[in-house]
Amino acid sequence: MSFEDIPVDVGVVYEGERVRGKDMLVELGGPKMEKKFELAIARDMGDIEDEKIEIIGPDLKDMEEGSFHPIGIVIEVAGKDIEPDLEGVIERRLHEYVNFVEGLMHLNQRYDIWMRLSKKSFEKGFNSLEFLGKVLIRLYKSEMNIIEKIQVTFITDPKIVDERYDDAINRYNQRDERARGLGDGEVDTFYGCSLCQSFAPTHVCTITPQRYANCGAISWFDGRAAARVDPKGPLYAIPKGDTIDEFRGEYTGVNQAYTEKSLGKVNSVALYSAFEKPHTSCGCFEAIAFVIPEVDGLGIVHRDFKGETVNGLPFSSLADSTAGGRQVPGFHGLSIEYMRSPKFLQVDGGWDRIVWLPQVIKERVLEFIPEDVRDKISTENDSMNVGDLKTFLKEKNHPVVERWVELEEEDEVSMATDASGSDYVAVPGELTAMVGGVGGGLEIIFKNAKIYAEKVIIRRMDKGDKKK
Amino acid sequence: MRERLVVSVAGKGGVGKTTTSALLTRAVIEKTKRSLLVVDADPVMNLPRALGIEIPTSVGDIASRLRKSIDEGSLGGEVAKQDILEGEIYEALVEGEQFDFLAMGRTEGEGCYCYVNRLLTQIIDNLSKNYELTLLDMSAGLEHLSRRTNRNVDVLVIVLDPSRAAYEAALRIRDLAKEVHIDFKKIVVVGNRFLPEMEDDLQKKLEEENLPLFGMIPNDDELSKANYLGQPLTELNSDSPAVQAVEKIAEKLGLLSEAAMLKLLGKDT
Repeated sequence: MSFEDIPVDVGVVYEGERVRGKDMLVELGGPKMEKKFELAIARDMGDIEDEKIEIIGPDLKDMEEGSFHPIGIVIEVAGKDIEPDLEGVIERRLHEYVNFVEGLMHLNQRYDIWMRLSKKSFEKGFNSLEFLGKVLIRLYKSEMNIIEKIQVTFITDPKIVDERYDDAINRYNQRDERARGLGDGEVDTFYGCSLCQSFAPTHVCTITPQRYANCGAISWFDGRAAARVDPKGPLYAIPKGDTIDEFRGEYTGVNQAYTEKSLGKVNSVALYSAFEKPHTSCGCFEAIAFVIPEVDGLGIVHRDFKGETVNGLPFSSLADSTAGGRQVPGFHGLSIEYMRSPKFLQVDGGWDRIVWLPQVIKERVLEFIPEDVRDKISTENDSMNVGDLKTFLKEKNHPVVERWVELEEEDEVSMATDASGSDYVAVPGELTAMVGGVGGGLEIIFKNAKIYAEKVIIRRMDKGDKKK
Repeated sequence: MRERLVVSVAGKGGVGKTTTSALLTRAVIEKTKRSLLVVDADPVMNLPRALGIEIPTSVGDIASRLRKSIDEGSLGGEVAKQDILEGEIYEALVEGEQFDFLAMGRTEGEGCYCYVNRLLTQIIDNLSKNYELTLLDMSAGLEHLSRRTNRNVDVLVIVLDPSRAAYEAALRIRDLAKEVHIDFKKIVVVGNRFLPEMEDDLQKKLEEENLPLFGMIPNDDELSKANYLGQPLTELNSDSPAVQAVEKIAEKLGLLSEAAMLKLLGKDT
């Protein structure tokens, strides 16, 4: 690929180059312009005149030094494998490619774009958007083989930008709508994040279209963007591999990533359960789902909730029971955005299994809670101890009430149903307690433990330890 | 290609970090035409006033806003946050005739900032590559330091006032600096408000700790007055003793000429 006919250099080295206010010739888009956009549109082969570049409105050479202009960039592409789903990815490449041009700065995306051209590049002869069009067409065609035909339109005429702006906004909205509905089955790559492995060494955050990162900050789209820019960084691609069970969210690729990244500590995960092989919990999950064995349901509490929850324990104590990258059935760190996912804890019954959650969170995710169970979930205003919770659930006929009957019939499963509301906690499976920490120490494993104690005190007894 | 110089100013609270940073900035813009980015990384944000500039918003405000829209689920589905944040940081940048300025501020709320902070670090590292010089006014804790690109030359300036606490903090900062994965090419000390007769003793003490004393900022009535009134230090007379002392320090740090920087690094042979 040659850029010999372009008056300035083109290349990766110019990415991240910033054109400062006093060095710029003109600004296109940006905070001073109300309307600006960039848009990629998938077209049919017959609708595109290949490599056509059109400039509607004044070109760079017609602009006054130090002036500001609206801008619209439309990239129309066609090819037998091109579909509307790819528009977002194609459009995002504009950011990179424009930045490859020496003396051109491009920031943001969609209706927020902000471009500057430096005086220096203009003086070198980069005086027409035609040059930018040529660069874009060459880069797109060489880097994205699926593009067979492409045409580029630059709009700087304020009237035309205005006219086409609403259509662009509509297209972004439609795309976001599609993105929200994107299913795990429609992609072949998930993303992993090891940003908090420093304090949760066996934690592997798995981010799928339907499951946000535990911290609530990283979507599948964020993962995709980060892994592309910095594939060796803390956000990395996890090839999905074979689907073991889509409903439970079990994939060979995810399990393999767990084995590798947790150094064999965690080898198998069902993404959509809090009970069976749950996803590990880091240290900064936004909320925690915790089992309330007395009602066989899950409570949820978020980090900002002050004081005790319905079972008498505050967020911090509940979080301690699973934080640090552990896989503890019944104690499950999660994000609030995940509560908006259709797959939210679906193995365990989803919202039908949630019995208690703080009012503010309930309000925040209300429209994602199925209507028939909305009023049946208790908040801190309805109950603040397990006895009251039980009464509340029974009164409202919460779906978990049906499970109680089943439980009472099954003798061998003895869940704690102490009416006095004790601190009895049944821990199915394996409970591991680490003692010692740095440089060895002990690991105590309880299998299928049921523990009742008034008080457990574990103390470190060093020589010459001061009495407390 | 030219090496970029990143100078970080640290020290216990109240020792004169902001005064030092402001006067170093002044020296650079008066004596050179080098491109300069000044970052106020101290959440207290005193530097804008000392430099006489208005800041529209801080990076912390932007990050808090992003965190809030994450919580509310109000972000567009398909757009990646790293892309949103970059543009917003650039909007927070104050572009001056002589230097650009960015205020870090602080973040609010209890949500997890691991990811947001990582994005910020990347964006600001990228931004600083565009300048020959970057000057960071740090908080005492060095939280904002991060592993930077190897093309940066990092120099850490620790400011001291005549107090035992400041001296001990300086040693702690030096130790901490080794832990944050930045390869500081040089760690130096600047003394502020010491009596002239204390200099020799201080120099000897610092030598034992392998810390070179790079200069002393004397007591300066005009400076005290300006600080008290909240006037920009860029308006001080150029014959003020503090201004002159910091100019000398700036030269030694390599802020005023490439040759001095190479000398600082021992590459002038």
